Amino acid sequence: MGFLIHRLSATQVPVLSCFISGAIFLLPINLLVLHYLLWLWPHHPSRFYTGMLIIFNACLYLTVVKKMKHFFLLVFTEIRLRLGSSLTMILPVVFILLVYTGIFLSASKPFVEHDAMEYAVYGNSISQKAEIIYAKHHYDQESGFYYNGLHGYAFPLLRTLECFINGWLPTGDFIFRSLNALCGFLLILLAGIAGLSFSRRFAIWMMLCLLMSYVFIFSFFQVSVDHFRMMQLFAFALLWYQSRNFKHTHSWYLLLCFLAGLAAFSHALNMLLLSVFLTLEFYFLFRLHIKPVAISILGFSLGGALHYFLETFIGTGWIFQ
Amino acid sequence: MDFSVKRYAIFYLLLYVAAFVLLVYFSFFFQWDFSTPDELRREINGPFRKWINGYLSLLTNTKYSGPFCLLIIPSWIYLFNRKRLEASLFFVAAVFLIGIKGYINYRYAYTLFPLMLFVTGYVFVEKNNMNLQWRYVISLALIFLHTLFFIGFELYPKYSRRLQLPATPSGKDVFRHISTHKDFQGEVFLVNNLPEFYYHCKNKGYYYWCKEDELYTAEGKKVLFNNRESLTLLKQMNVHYILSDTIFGKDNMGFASFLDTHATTIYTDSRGRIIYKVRY
Repeated sequence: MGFLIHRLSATQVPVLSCFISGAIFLLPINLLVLHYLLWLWPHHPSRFYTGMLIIFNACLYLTVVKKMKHFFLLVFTEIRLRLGSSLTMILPVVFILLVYTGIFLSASKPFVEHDAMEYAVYGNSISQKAEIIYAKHHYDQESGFYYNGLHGYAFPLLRTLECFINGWLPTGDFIFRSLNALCGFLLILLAGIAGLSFSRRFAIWMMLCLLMSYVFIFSFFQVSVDHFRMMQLFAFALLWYQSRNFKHTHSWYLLLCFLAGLAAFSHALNMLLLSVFLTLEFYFLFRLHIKPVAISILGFSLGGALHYFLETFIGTGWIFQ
Repeated sequence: MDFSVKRYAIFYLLLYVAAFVLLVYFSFFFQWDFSTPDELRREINGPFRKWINGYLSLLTNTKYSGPFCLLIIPSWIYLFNRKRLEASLFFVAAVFLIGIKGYINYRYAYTLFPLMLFVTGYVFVEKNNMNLQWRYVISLALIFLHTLFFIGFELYPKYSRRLQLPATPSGKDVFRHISTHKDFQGEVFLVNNLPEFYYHCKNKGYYYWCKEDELYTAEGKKVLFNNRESLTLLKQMNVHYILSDTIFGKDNMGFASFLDTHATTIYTDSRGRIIYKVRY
């Protein structure tokens, strides 16, 4: 993903931003593919869906495999340039240890969060029925559960994916419980990389401020969708900001708005904020020219905004509820 | 309007002090007579606090976001002055959207926190015209202030409580009780806003939320306890047990009076979740 972003930005966006954004959007794009599969080809065994996801990722890999080495070399050189050779060796090790400890500490806490529990139960329900439907009411006749959520399906589908994976690799609900902590670390990395666009001092300042926030620590140890949706929103904002002063191709805007769609697919607030943001940019950046606006809307819809359109007209009514 | 660096600094300082004084005054000393206990608990009693702590929570949520939610206002003015019109318009729209959608929910205000950090850092640490020493002083002062908010106000009371929770439920656990006790096999529950039930138990449970008195069915939401035929309806649904939480008890008078007259508490776990048996 990172390489694709780097390639389509015509190497104008810093390579580290592309790399981290690629890492951030890899899981959401898989969840989006799973969403389309369960919606358009329902009622297949779990092996079918996991198999299709493996094929999708293999295709992604094969499209970039020849240039992959070059891209990673660029990333490594950039890190060494920014941090110095000694820190380049030490920091990743320290960071991996921190991630490892944080994730296991977080996942060892009990799963008691109300909203995340609703997503998890709905994710279980999707995995049992192997289908996604757009209906006025999401009521499970068998258990009596009623899904109230008005957000995108990314987070429930994470639980669905884990249920499918559980068929051949028993993880219980570890992935679902630890995602928020992992995304918290990615958010810190992203904040650092955003700060690096100005100076190393600003990068450290950003990381420290984020790490020292009560709200960050409070969320870190919870099972929730917060860091997952925030890192996507922030990654999109960073890519947009860093590419704003260059003239880009339509394919770049298609990709960028597709990533915005992925961010929107994780939460309704992302959808609303990004809709406002894109509308403003259609006016200020594209000067309402039809072609870039249409391409951006297409990318945004395919990336996940289509879900809200469907929910509004053939589903729960979403924003009119 | 073009400020010099010194004027900017004085302007920010005055704005910050004014906002802080106003917040302290309205948070601690300004009380309104008409308010529900729930509004008092959430500190949104009265129209002013409803606006400050509710709709404008993105800008005032110092409890969670530290000083940065206040610093975003001068940053916004900076962006506005630098003719970054789309960024400043987006910010106004974001405050509006988060206020409407999220209201007092800190999670919604948290959404823009990294962006707020980036913008305030850009304005205060990177982009001002002060010399390098002053930039270091400002950035360290901000981190220090931020840390004070973190440690002084909130760290110990809540953060530690969360971490103290054991990995597996210790003592009495209502879901383990339902899953293992033979009396509950095949029984249908009325589940008052506790989705854990569906995660841990195999029994059927009708989903209900007492605060709105809403029973969720295949046809949508229905009024349950504020309806005269609630007992008949429960009997038709074959519900013999109600699962609820002590903190929801007083949220709906109809529900509370039904529990008083037609239900018996049969089990309470260590986290305050209760099983009632319905008396027909």
